Parts: sequence; C-alpha cells; structure tokens
Amino acid sequence: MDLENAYMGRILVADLNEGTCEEEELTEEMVNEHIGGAAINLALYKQHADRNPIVFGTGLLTGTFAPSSCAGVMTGKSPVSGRVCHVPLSWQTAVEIKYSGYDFVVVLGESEKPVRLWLHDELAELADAEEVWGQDVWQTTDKLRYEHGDDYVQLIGIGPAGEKGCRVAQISEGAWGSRDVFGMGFTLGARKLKAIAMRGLGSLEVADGFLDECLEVQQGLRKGAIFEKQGLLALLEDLGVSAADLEPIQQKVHRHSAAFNCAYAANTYLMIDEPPGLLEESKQDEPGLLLNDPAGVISLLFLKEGLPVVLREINRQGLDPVACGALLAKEGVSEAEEAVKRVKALAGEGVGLEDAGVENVYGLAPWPLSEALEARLIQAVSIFSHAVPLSPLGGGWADVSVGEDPAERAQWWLDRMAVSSILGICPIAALLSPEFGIEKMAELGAKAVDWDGLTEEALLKQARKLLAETHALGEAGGTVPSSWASADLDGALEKLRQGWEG
Amino acid sequence: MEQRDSDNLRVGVYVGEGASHSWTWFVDLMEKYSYSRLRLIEEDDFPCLAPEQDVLLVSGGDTFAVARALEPPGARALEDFLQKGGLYIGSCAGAYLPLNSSKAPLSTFNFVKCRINNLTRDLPPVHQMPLKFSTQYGCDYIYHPVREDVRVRMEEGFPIWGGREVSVPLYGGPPMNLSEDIVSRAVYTGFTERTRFLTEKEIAETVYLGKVAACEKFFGKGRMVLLGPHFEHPWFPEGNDIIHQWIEWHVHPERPAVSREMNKKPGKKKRRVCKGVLAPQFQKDFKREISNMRIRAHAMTRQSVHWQIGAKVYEPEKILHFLDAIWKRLEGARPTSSGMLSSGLQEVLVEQAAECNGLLKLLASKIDSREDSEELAGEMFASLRSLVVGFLGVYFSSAGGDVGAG
Repeated sequence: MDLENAYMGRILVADLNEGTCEEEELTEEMVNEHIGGAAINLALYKQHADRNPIVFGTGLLTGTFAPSSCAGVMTGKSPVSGRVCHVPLSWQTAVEIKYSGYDFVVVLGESEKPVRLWLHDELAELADAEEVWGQDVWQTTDKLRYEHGDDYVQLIGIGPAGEKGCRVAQISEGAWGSRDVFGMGFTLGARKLKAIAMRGLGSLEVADGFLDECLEVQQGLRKGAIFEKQGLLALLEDLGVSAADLEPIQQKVHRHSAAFNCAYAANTYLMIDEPPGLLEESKQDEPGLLLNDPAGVISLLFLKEGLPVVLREINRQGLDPVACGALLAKEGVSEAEEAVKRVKALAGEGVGLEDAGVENVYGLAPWPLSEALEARLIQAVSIFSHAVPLSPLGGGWADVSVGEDPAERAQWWLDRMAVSSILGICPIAALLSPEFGIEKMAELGAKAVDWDGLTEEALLKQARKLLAETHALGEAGGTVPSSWASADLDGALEKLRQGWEG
Repeated sequence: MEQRDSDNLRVGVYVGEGASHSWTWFVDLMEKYSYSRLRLIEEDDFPCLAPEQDVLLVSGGDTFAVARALEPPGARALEDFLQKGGLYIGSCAGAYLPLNSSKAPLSTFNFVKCRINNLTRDLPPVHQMPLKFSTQYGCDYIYHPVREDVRVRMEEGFPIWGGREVSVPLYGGPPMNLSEDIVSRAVYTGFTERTRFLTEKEIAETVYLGKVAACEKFFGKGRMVLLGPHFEHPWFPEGNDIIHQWIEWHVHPERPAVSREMNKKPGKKKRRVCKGVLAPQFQKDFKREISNMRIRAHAMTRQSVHWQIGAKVYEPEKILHFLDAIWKRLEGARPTSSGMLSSGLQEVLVEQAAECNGLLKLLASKIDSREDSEELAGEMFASLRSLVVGFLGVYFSSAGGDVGAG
C-alpha cells in the first residue's frame, strides 16, 4: 500500500487539560484494519474513551483527485442524544486538515481558559483564545484569518451559542454553518475550545493512472440530469420543495460554488444587503451568506423572504438551523426582525429542544419534509447527520436499485453515509449519482493507494462494522415523536441492527 | 589552481547586496552535484577570494547594486582570483557585471569586451510586463523582448553537450555579440511555446537569434564564464548539467565528467535526501516561524502588488523562493538530540526568523490598508536574505562539509 498517496502519516493528540500537542504515527496497519475516516475516528475514540474525546478525521480519499473528495468527519458523543455520532465536514475544512499535515486530530479533556488550536505545516499549537472568546462566528473567522495572514485559513469553530452552553449549538465551518445536528458546538464550548484553524501547503503523492481514472469518473458523473443544474435550491426542488416556497430565496441568489473537487456546486451564495446582480466589488465586508445545509433551509422556509437574515444570524451565533427552525415554529415567530432577536437570545439561554417542548428524535428536530418510515428509521439510528437528505438525489429509489422496503432504503442510506465518511467523499455527492456507487468508490480508493484488498465487499464490511460499533457505544435515551412511535418502526430498527451484526 | 575533485572543490556563491533570490538556485545545483565545500560569499569575503575559493558563482539581481557593493577593491579581488586560476560563472546580472561599461560603478568591472545586443535608445512597444521590460542605462535602455524559456545550442567542442540544443530560462540576461576576447559556447537558436514575448516577435528574433548566450574568457589559468539565461534554474536539469560540465572541464580539462542527465534512466522520482542535522527543538521553533511566513507570503501572491527595490522589481513570489530555500531543507533535515548548533546560534536564528516574520506581518498589514510599502519591503527582503544566508550556512555546516556562511 502506498500510504503517502492518501495520508500524511500523522495523528495529533491535543490534551486540553495539559495544554500539550503530541504526534502519533498513522500506521499502515491502522489503515489496513479500518481503511480511514470515520472508522479510524471511532478506533481513536475508543482508544481514548476515558477522556471523552472528540476526533476530527479525514478519509482515505480526502484531498485527492477523487471526485467530491472534500469530506472529513468529526466523531464524538452528542450532548443531546447521548450517543456517539459522526458529523460530516465539508467545504474546504477536511482538506485543509490533511494538507496541514495531520490526518486525524484527537482532542482530549477540557481547558480551564479559552484556547484555540492552530495547525499548519505539520505543526500544532494550542494558543490562548481570550481575544476571540465572546465573538461571533464571523468575527472569530475574520480575526483568526487576519492573525494568520491568509483568507484561505479554514476553521472549525463555535459562536456565542457554544460558549454559553446552548444545547443546539452547532460547529461552524469557516464563517458558515455545518451539517452538525448533534449539538457538537456545545461540546467544543464545554471544553473551552473556541476554534481549530488550519492552513497547510502540504501535498500528497499521486499513483500512476489515478488522475485519469478520477477524470473518467468525474465525466461520467456529469452525465446525470442533476448536473445540468447548480446550487442548493435545485437540490431542494429535487427533494420536493415547491418552486413557490423557494422563490423568495431564489431572488437573492448571487452564485453557486462547489466544495473541494466536487462535481456538483451544492452551495449557494445569497446577497442580502446588496442586489444579487451586482457585478462590481461589494461595498460591504460581507453582504450575504452561503447556503450549505438543505435541512436548515427547509426548516426555516416558513420565514419566507425573512429566511436569509435569520439564517445569517443563526450562522453568526453558531446555532443549528434545523433546531432553530423547530423552536421558532413552535413559538410562532415568523417575522424576520423578531426571529433575529429570538435567535440572539436563544444563543445565550442554553436551551434544548426538550426544554422548549419541541417534539424531536433523541433531542433533535425531525427531518422537516418527510415522515416516511425510512426517514424515521435513519433518524432514530442517529449515527450520521440527517442534515444530509435521506434519499437519493437527482433520481428515485429505482435508479439505485432499491425496492420499497423501508429498512432496505434506510440501510442503503446508512451504507452510503458510512462509506463516504470512511473514504472522505461528500455525503451529498454520494446520493447524487447511481454511477458513483460503493463499487466505484472502492475502485478509486484501491487505485489511489495501490491496495488490492480494498474491494466493494471489504468497504461494505467496514461500513457495517462502523454502524454496529458506533451504535453499540450509544446509551439508551431520548424519544421519537409520539406520532412516529409504532411497532413498524421498532421492528424495522431491530432488523437494521441485526443486519450490522451479521 | 591545484587539481581538486568535486567533493573538495571550494565553491563560493555570491549572496551579497544586489543579489536576488536566484543565488539559491546555484546553492541547489551545488548540493545536487555534491559540491560539499560550499560557502556563501558576501562583499566582506572578496579580499580572500583567491586563496579561499576555487569557483565563484554570481547569479541574478541588480547589476548596479552588486557593482556598488563590491566597489573597486572587489573588482581587484576578482581579477586576482581569476589570475590565480579561479573559475567565475555569472548568469544574468552575474553576466552583465564584467562586461565593458563606461558608467560608474560598472566601469570598474571591465573584464570582457563584448557588447550586449539588447541596448536601444528607442524602446519598441511593450505588450506585457512593462516593469520587467527595460532598465534605463544612461540615455539608453537595456530591454528584454522575451522572458521564460528560450532554446540555445551549445557550440561544438563543449564537453558532452557540444552541438546539442537545450531549453533554459531567460529572466533579463544578455544576448551578447562576439568579441575578440571571448569564445562563444552557446548561441540563442529559438523560442518555445513557453516563451513570453514582451514585444513583437520579430524584434525578439533580431535581438536574440544567433547571438551569444554563453561564452568564456580566459585569464591565464582562470576563466570567466558568462551565461545570459539562468542555466542554474532547478527546473532545467540540462542547463544544470552544462554548468557542472563546465566546472569539471575547468578542473579536469583532460577528461569530461559523467553526465547525470544523459545517463539517467527513467523511473520513479525519488525524494531528495538532505544531509543536514538540526536539533529537534530548534527545528520546531524555527519551522514554526518559517511556516507562518510561508502562509502569509502565499496569501500575498494572490494580491496585485510589487515593489521597486533598487533597479529590480520584487513580487511576493520572491519571498516564497527565499523561504523555500529554507523549507525544503527543514523537511529533509535529520533531527538529532544534540544537533550541530550552539544554543546561542539557535536562538539567534529563531529570533531572526521571528523578526522577519514580524516585518512580513507589518508588510501585509500595509498592503491591506493600501499604504506605501516599498521601504518596508526593502527592509523585509534584506532581513529575509540575511535569514536564508544564516540558515544555509548552519545547514551546510551541519551536513559535514567545510562550508558555511561568509
């Protein structure tokens, strides 16, 4: 195996109690046993379980030429579900972790005073974060980018919500939100870890023929009908959101952008304070916001044209938009100005959904569009972020050769999420194209590191192992909405779990 | 000159005032060909050139600034070095320096009679890179119709490469007219798809084609080699080998050196292994400063900014060139518990790096606020040059050779 084609070979262990950063080697044996990404995260989590670790990891293909190889994963115990969860990292975040010289970052313990971690060129420094503690996500991002002299510095951070112990605090990726629906912003705040900033000028080796194979897969992907479109709103339409509901946002669309190496531009930039058609340089530092979370947008659609300003405040406070949407809806707040005020207040209240009487799944708001049994199943499993759509995109179940059995559908989704989190493929891209299935991903992984043992079967086996082991670490707790509770759900859940054990 | 093998040949690389980043290319080349007795030479070292060096390498930069810094004693030291059998290899500014000139301070370096072919009173229209296109020279202009790759043919009789054409990069170096005192060793023969034309192609053809790209003049046992293009550029292994052949030819006129480039077999590229030895804590502290500088400098390269320092235009890319000269050696250096540095010297280097980093941060801040940053850039580049010279001196010392900063 040519490990240097995929990984830098380093694991960082940052001990917040001791204020130290130690390096460990990422060995070929570890990759052989776990492949990468969430599976290695979980192994590291178990290794350090007595210190309540949080693990940030990159997949085998993260940052390579493989299509949509933007993803990484954060693994830790969710404060709202009490279960171990895997939160996808997207945009440029995971790629920058790897290029900064670290494949995995384990954070242990908690600091007495606010700290931040700076990863750059195989160096890790824990620094004082008093200067940014209390600042919102945008202020923190600006300040740290200025401090390190480069707008390409990527960050995983928290806003005031995480600092103040809000249980629906989300981790942020740079200035924008993430797909964290597990309250991991609370977890970082409880440890007084304000941010991890990364910038690396490292590079990976490339196997002979790998680039050509990646280009071929990329070209194949682009033949799908969805690739004729761009942006998050097109995905939402594909999921069944009506054009009329999207119209108020559509009017503010400025541009679309893809995460690192992604074939589909799944992020949409809105202009709020300036006309979206503006061609000259903006007069304001930040006149809009980036939509990158389909579930968050759906949750807030009832705000109509007020959605962008409210979502911007949610991003700045470091809150989970799905949860905020559920809370605002429950409280009947639908006017933008009032909603912004409520969001600011929420960040300081340390509130959870249960406190507000919002029906939820293990403490989290249910997927807003669908209560189909497969969707309920996925959320009840609560291992991967259901901020990622719960069905194939750009086509139906038939296109991915999955029948009508809800358990089969849920398993298909869980397998896709597990495999993409192991390899570092964008979870949305993993739902976008029947051609980009597990077999193709395994081929790319095998080619990248010259590893014959990485077959579709091996990858799927690792995925099921990840599901079983993650689930086994969870504690009983939480409820599902009363309207969901049924013998069907219980039976299908049991069937799923048995499948992983097998 | 006493006959020496390449591993005990004493090679000096000029790194003084007026030298731009391209001297680091000569350092790379010497390391690549295992010339281990390498010394970085500044103005103060010139009086001892003759007894202490066998080869002197002078790369690009600001020719006027080099001449001003060396002063007449430097010119006399150079003459003494040549008369005693030394080999001078100058590229670009290093080639302009010893050409005949009537203008001070260059007039003290009139070693070679040949005239350049890129001198004009009336500049033709410039199509791109106007700041790189010309330099005033009295009432005339030295102008540069092309940049980047050019084709040159080595003259028959040159070891190994005689009669062959190679590509080498041109960044303002001279096209020379043949004169009685020089022997042409290479002529400009053409352009490539990577050639950048700063003016009409026809003008470029007139200025360069058929003119001397490399020549030499003998001074008793010594010789002066002048190269228009940067044969020492690390991306041009054929050009590198030609310089190596020239050095070996000078030392062993009776037998050609083995050509690494011609005999190399295709295969997987191996990472170069450096031999430097650095103490781990120093390596970490120093690396932190250099990494922070690299990140900031990379960000600067995305901005439209340049500085006129002396007669040369500097861009942020040059900061990266200097930093990379350190970085790639930090990457390959073997840490040991003892290292080869006194703790005092380690502290000095780390402090120097922190100071340079501070200047770079200030420079970035001035750029952001659109303030004039030229003076500060000059200060920062001087600090950076000094840092690189200091580090490389230490690095090569620790590699086991009889080498170091001047």
